Amino acid sequence: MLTLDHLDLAYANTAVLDDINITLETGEIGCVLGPSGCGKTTLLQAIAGFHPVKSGKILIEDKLVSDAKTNLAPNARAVGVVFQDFALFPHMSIIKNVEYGLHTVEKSQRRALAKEHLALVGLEAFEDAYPHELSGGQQQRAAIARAVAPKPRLLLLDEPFSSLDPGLRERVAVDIRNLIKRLGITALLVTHDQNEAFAMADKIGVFAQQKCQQWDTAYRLYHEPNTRFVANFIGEGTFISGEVQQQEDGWYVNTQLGRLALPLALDSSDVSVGEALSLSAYNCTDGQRVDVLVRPDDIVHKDASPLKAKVIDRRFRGAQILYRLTLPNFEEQVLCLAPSHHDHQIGESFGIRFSIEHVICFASTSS
Amino acid sequence: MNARFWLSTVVCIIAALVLMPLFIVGASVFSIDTNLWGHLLDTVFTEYVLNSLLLALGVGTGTIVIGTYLAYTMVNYAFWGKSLLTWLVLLPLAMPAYIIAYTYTGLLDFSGPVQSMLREAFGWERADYWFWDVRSLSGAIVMMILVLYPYVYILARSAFAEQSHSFNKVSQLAGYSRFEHVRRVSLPLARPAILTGASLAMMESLADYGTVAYFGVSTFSTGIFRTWFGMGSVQGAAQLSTVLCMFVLVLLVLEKHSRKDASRYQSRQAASVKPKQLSGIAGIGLFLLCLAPAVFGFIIPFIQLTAWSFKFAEVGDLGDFVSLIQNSLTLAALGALIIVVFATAVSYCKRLTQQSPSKVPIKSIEQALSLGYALPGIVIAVGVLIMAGWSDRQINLFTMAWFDYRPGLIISGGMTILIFAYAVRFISVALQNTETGFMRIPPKLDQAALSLSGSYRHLLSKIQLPLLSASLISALLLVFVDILKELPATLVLRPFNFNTLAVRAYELASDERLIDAALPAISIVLVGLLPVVLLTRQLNKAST
Repeated sequence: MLTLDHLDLAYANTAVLDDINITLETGEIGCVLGPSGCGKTTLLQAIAGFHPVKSGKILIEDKLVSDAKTNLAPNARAVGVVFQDFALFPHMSIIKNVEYGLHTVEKSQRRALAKEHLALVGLEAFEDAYPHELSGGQQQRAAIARAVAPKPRLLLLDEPFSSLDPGLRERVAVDIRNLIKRLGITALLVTHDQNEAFAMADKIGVFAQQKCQQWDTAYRLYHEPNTRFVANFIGEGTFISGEVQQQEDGWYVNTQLGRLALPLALDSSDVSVGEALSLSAYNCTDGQRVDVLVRPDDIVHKDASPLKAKVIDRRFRGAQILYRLTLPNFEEQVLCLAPSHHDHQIGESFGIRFSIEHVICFASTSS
Repeated sequence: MNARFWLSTVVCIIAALVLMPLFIVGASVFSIDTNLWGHLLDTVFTEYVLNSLLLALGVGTGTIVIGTYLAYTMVNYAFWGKSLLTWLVLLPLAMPAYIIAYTYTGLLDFSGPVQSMLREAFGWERADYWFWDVRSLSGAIVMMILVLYPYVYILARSAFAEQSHSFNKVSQLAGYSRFEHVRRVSLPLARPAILTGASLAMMESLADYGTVAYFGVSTFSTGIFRTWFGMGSVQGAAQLSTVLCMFVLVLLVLEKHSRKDASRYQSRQAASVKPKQLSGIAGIGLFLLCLAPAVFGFIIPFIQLTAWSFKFAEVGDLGDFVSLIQNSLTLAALGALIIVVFATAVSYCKRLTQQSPSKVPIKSIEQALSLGYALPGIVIAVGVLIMAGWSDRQINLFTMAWFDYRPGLIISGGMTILIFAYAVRFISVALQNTETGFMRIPPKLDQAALSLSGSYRHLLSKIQLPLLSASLISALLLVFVDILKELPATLVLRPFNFNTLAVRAYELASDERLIDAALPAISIVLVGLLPVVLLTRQLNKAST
């Protein structure tokens, strides 16, 4: 449906994004996730046709809309955009706002079409209201109704939740996801908030350092990050050091928490620092120093365990407590998410068990 | 009885005094002189109404056209010379309408350089050609458009600049052309700001006395003057003033209403429009188009005034000029100081009552005081003079009865009455500045200061006044310049043999001594440039 093929974007001579390759299937919701200033909004602008492409291609339904020479006008692309500030015209009623994008539709059908879409987002009672009379969430739904009423093939949402109350965002995100799924539209949203991305998207791309670091499902981003950046950016975790060891039955990593089996066979090309040594990209040499990613759910509270760790910080989270622990050797730290009834104070020690399912390691930076 | 109580009491008393002239003018409708009105209605009244309406409508339309196209191009396009233009387009604000009026008269009348040149070039004689008579209603309209368009420009510019950039994109996505976008979105969104600016310009045009009097156009303000001095009827003048105030009231309602819409239509949240770069002929053409109002509204008259001033310096007597400068500066400085001190007291009082409620209706007082700017100077002069005359009579009756002594016109014969009239008219200018100044100091700061030292005197002297200094300076400057430029009230109320720059420039010009009038006129313009510089810097800062 949407294909970005070796896409490069730039502002004048400053490169913004470099070699982006992404595909989004019809009906999927994609998300571009990244810290502010990573070029994600520029990417959205380029897809909508507001920003020229330096090289590479953008295809919508296999039709070329942008490359270095082509730049199809925004209205010829059949995309709808929900802007960060919603951009509802304050001098028009809600229904007039929705009708604004329908001027190519025959006049007699305009009103009916607009009403139908306002009903879809649950604003049928507000069609004569003005934007300032609506709440933030209602304004957003009005903006979505306006964007989808002309039946775009692709819906783009730019930081759609940033103007809403933080407490509302996740709930609204789920509502919007259901709405988009019901309409059967393909959508791409841009956000810096991973909780919004997890709540909305089928596929998420983590953008940083001008690259798409990984284009994957939320589950894989968390449990099988491709790069050290993704590992740090998504969820919580720490690294402990280890050493790779080759044995007859496979490859292992030795850490102070025990010996861990590496999941796949290796090929022997070079590994650059910061790239994950797992699955297909997994390649290292015998005896190499690596950092192993440890997530809080990999460390299990177990009083009987001989392995003791000391609490240096704790954060109460209701059902659970997130402990920061020091391990006996090398002053290495791990996080542990323990059920809330295991109440330990800072300075106390308790027994832990290491239970890791996805072994993710990166070539060590300190060797 | 604490300091707060006394402050509120003093504020209320002064406010009552300042508002009194307005009530007096309003109350005059209850004593109609049927003879006089019969005469007015039979003869000139229709002309006053018609001319004033045409003047206001013409000025409104003209300022809307010029101010809007200037604002739109300055926000939406980037071209060569634009940064220079941001300064130039505001300069006409420094040019009082009566000064530009007499300058253009000198330029465009039969013996002026333009017509002389035309005659020479084409060999015409007096009756051979038609030339626009600048001393007419249309001339007055054009003169006022040239100096008042910045009112619309300033407000429209921020209205266009604060339109979200996303609005453009919504229109592009829907496939609208740029023109359609302007028609359906940009202009409707800027409309409240444009109307606010236009209603301010129209109020100024109704308040004008110098231009219409010089051009011999009969409007309400010249009519009030004539009824008063020509027919000797102060009551009649006050009643005409009331009618004029009705007109102003309509504009005032329009202005307030538009301001409310504007606050809703303008948001600072979103990134604003990126100007489109224009180069080559299109860029130069746009530059010239935007330069034109400044050329006609400031540059040409300024050059002419400078030339006349040099001519005068060669032959004229500068001694008279020195005493004019002394008079004007003393009056303006004294007036500005008194008015700003009072405005600060009102704003401070308002701030105190906001923090802990009191019975003083300070908000209504403030709103009433800010009406002064809408009232023509001549109307205020009528009200003030009636009030001062009555007071003088009472004082003389009192002293005669008790001390057998008649002190004479101690109020209406001196400077006090002038400064009092200025206070009525310009208190709103000062209030606007002290208000925003206090608004910029967060109330939390007061609480922090009071929690550390309980004294309100410390709070005012150590915290608020230092933080207010910028607002106070700009208030002083604006009131100072406004007093310096003020013509009708000064003309009517000044003590005998007391002249200011504005009065002298007007008198000399009325006597067709244009060259002699140039020096006082250009002095007013030069001092008037100060607040324009201040304003330009504020606007440029706001837009970056």
